[in-house]
Amino acid sequence: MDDKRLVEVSDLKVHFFTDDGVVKAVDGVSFHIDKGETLAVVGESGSGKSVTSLAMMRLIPNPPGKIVGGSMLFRGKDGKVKDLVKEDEASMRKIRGNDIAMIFQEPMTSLNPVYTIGDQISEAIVLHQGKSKKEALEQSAEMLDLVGIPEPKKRLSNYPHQMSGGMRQRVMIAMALSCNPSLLIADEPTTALDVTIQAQILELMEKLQKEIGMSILFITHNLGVVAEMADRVVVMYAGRAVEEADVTPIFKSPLHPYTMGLLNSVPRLDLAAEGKIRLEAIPGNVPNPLWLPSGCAFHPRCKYMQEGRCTTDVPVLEDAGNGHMVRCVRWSEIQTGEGVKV
Amino acid sequence: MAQATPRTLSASRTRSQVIWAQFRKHRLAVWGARILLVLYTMALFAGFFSTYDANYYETYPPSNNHPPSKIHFRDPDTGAWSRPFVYATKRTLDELTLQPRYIEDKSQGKFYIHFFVRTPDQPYTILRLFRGDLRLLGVDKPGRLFLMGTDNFGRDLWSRIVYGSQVSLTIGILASIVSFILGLALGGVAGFYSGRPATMSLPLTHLFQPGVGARAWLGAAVSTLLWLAIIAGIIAITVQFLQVTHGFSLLSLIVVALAAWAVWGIARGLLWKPIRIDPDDVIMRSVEIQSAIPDLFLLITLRAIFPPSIDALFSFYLITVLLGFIGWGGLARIVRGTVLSTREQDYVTAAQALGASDRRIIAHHILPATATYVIISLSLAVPGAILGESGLSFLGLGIRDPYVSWGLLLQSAQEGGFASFTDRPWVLIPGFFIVLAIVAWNFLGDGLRDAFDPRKRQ
Ligand SMILES: Nc1ncnc2c1ncn2[C@@H]1O[C@H](COP(=O)(O)OP(=O)(O)OP(=O)(O)O)[C@@H](O)[C@H]1O
Ligand code: SF4
Ligand SMILES: [Mg+2]
Repeated sequence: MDDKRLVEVSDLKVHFFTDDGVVKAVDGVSFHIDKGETLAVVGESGSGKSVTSLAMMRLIPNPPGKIVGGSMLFRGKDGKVKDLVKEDEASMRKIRGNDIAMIFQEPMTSLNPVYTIGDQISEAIVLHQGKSKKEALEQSAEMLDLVGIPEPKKRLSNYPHQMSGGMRQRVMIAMALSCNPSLLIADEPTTALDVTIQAQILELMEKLQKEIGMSILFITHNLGVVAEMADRVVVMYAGRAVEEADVTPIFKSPLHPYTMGLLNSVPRLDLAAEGKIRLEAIPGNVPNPLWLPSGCAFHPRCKYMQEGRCTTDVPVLEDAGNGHMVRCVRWSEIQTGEGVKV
Repeated sequence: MAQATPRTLSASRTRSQVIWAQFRKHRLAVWGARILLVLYTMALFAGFFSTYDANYYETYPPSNNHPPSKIHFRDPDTGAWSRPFVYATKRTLDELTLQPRYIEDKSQGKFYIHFFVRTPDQPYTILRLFRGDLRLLGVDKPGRLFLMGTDNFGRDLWSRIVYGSQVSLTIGILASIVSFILGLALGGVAGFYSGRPATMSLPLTHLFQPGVGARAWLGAAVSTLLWLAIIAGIIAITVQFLQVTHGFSLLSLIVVALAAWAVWGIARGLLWKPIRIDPDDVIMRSVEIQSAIPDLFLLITLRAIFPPSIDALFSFYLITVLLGFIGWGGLARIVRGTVLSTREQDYVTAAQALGASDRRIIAHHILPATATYVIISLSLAVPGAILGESGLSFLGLGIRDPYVSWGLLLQSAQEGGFASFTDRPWVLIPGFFIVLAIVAWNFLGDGLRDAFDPRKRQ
């Protein structure tokens, strides 16, 4: 693995074996994250974003879920490269919280209501750094200070219900960063917060990323957040990555029809001000994961769909130049506009 | 935002204050708690509150089946108020029934009741730590004070009730603690591992696949031996059964079919299909089977496994464990349910993502969530255990001499047949104490349930 690489996921497959059949929640996803980089994963609900992130932590509920294929190379803090798919549970426990940390969507329920903030932040410190409870509490206070909570010493003895949602998400961030992880997975960390708080939390994450030098895997369906945070973007649809590129090309020149649809469904103040509102929702719904359409899974909703090609062949991820990857049989035709009926 | 209002309102009171205030509103529960406080104080200082040692009696003058002593408050000659006193008694035999009758023997003079008397011939200990011989009430010898009469040996019933409370009241709590440990451990495992069956065998066909290491081989060898032993056991039991039963009947056919089915299942597991066992299934099915059998019947059956004449102290421990074993099922169900819902909570996933182990998550995050339910169901389990002890002792399968329990007292009460209830009704008093303790515990449990229930709060 390249020296600047932190994570290299190839052909990851996570399937859920339910009574109704096999749900291929993640079906051959590949991506990489460099050191200090922020990779955003976007996609509609049910596209497999959370499952991907849980798979990296090896926290897929089993049964019914199972990682059925692929590899996830990860460079630990000790410099060794490990395949997270193959690690045993004991060494995964050492990686979780220490090398890879995670923050969740719901700050309201992600903290245990019966323990104090101090107890919960120091949990990871005691677990991974072998510090005494007292030292851990001191470090917890420093962490609270770092994430911008006033009077951190006093706050240690607070219970979660005594804090607002934004404060709790700061506490979650403090918890996640307490052991200096090299990768932070943030699964829709701001979705449950109101807009001004969202902005504060994002700002905080960016600031901390610069200070600590960690990489972030940022999961969201908010494209505005992507534009602000990400260095690179992976767009997921029905368990597959359909497009991957740096953040500017994704917004300036999207190649995949699904990405275009996503971008068109975002309200844009600049266009609204010019009276050019072109808000288009993508027609149809996310497919039932048990009955994925044949060929390109997006074809029932795609306006460029071509009978015969899109409905039979599963498109492969192609390099469109400069590392801009796209999974669409017609991407070049759509780009040049030749033979495309709209 | 809807949550914000109650939060600010109750911010001035902590959770325990709210619970306490709610508990105090339940008047019967408060009374239950007070009664239990009195009863348990009495049990703790049994030596002090009793008038005699539990097994103390005098052969002469005889005092068997003595009715409660008549306590006089007036001088019979002058009619003036005096300190309470009793007369000595003299025994005669009823000519018809040959039952003892006692008449007051005024010739020996009055025996005043003293407070804080010392009885050096009958020392006692408190919790086996402190020795003492100070008793609350007593009379000088040869006078005798039987507050609640005597049994057929002449032992003071009040003293026996007080000493008996030690066994009857603690056995309830001890048995609940046994249930608590079993229920919490098994219910916790059932809930946490529900839907995640453990593989209990590694079939031969899987062993030769690539990537199977030496440890797997060792494990497979051990588990295969165990399963073979189980097969041997099944076959042995079946063969024995066929030998013991005469002739070949439909029943034999069923037994053979069952055995063959079990052996086939295991053999398949050893050859090609791994045996997977969900601990939840095993534990919860045993709870269901156990709860289908009436408690007292199960108790007696289990007790019957041990010889009837075992050491008295051992039988005390045995009864405790058996009662605890009867009670764990209900608790395990409650714990399992709470664990099942708690393990899906976000904070559990968050703890896992921080690298916490299963054990730590169970102990630190999941079991504390069950605390409320556990407290309540424990306080409701104690009366059941008290009643179970009484039942067993009443049937002569429980506590035995020289230990005393309320159930044992009731058992000796019924020894004289129905006549004992008409001739000497005081022997039924222990029954009153059983009822009192059980009612008090039930009220207390009720009150706790209401106090912890947020829906009951205004
Ligand atoms: N425990 C599970 N059992 C069965 N199927 C599951 C389970 N967890 C996830 N899935 C399936 O995996 C698919 C992907 O789910 P995932 O949670 O990754 O979506 P997502 O992209 O995170 O969506 P959202 O934006 O709503 O969070 C879904 O179709 C879901 O049905
Ligand atoms: S492959 Fe066909 S259906 Fe799929 S996105 Fe491309 S054009 Fe649309
Ligand atoms: Mg999700």
